[in-house]
Amino acid sequence: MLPEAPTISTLSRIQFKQTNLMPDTPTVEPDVKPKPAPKPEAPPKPNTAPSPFEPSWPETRPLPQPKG
Amino acid sequence: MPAPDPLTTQQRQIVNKRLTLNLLIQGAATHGHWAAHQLVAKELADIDPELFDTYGEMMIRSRLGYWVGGIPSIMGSALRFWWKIQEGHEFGYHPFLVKHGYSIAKETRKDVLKRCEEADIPINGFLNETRGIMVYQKAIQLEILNLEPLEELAKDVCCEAYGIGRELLDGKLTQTPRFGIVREPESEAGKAILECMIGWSAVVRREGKLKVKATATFWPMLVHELIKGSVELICLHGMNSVTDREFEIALERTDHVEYEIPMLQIGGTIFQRFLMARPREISLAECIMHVSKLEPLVLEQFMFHLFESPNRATDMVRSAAATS
Repeated sequence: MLPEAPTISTLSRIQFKQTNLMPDTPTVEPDVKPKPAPKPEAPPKPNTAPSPFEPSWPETRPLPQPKG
Repeated sequence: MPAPDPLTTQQRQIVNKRLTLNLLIQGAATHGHWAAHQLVAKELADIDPELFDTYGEMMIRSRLGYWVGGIPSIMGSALRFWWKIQEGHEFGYHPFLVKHGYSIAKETRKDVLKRCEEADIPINGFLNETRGIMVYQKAIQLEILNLEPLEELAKDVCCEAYGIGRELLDGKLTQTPRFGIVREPESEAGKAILECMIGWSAVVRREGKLKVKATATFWPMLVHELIKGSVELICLHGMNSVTDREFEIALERTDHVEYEIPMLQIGGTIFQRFLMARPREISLAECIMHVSKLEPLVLEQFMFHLFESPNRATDMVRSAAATS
């Protein structure tokens, strides 16, 4: 029984190998795992750092007297 | 030795904390007063070319005036005051002032005299007073046609140095600067000094917001008052957690016209140490806020570190900022 005639595809591979254009090792497929869907953006955190110029001060407590 | 303390330990610690904050407040103001005209030399020259030199002479004479001339003749010798604070004075219960007050006073006086020598200004109280009045009158004459731009420039200096919002500042140049209710001085010296004061500032509540009100008879003093009010505003962070009664006692014991002069004498030197020790990555206003919020005994330790181991003072500010 005659061997099966090479297909175009098999020939191409041989030719490519000979011209050293085909890598010996299989190409590592790039990781194309789908990225997880971005999480919905959290609302910005309120700035909890106290402002130097906004001290809390009891409404009923008098403020210090003027300084001269 | 000081007399037995009439206050409880807790009350004394809060009184001492308020004294320390007052030192920083007066020191910040004094420092700004000395330096302001140099910060905005070009802007002053645009308003009037004679202002810069006039303010320069005024600053050095006003500094000298705390050590010779009119103020010591009313209040007594400054060095003698600091040497004797343990003899019945409120400052005699403040460990930092007891240990360092006199030496800081001596250091400050020496620096003032050196600057006078460099500027060829004689160390003579009478001459300083008479020449000082002439320079003061000249400044008033130069300012009279430029009050509004000078008021705005004073706010610029305060905003730039402290980062405070301009909308929080109300500053006016006026020949009648006194406002608000001030505790009547008990001593004759205090009554005399009260009449001589040429600038005032306070934190005031307007439309539910705390703001700074400042008035002064001439420009460098207006900067002084705006900064003083701004730092007073920041330092309220450090007094808002005490009880009403503790706060009342603290003010009764600390906020006196008579105490302002000694604090002005040495406050500038203390504030210079504060500026040198503060971590640069934290704004000046935030540094003051964090320090004002320290517990009384921790604040006392901070003051000692400022003069004895400044790196530790720096670390304390960083640590206070990180945990706030």
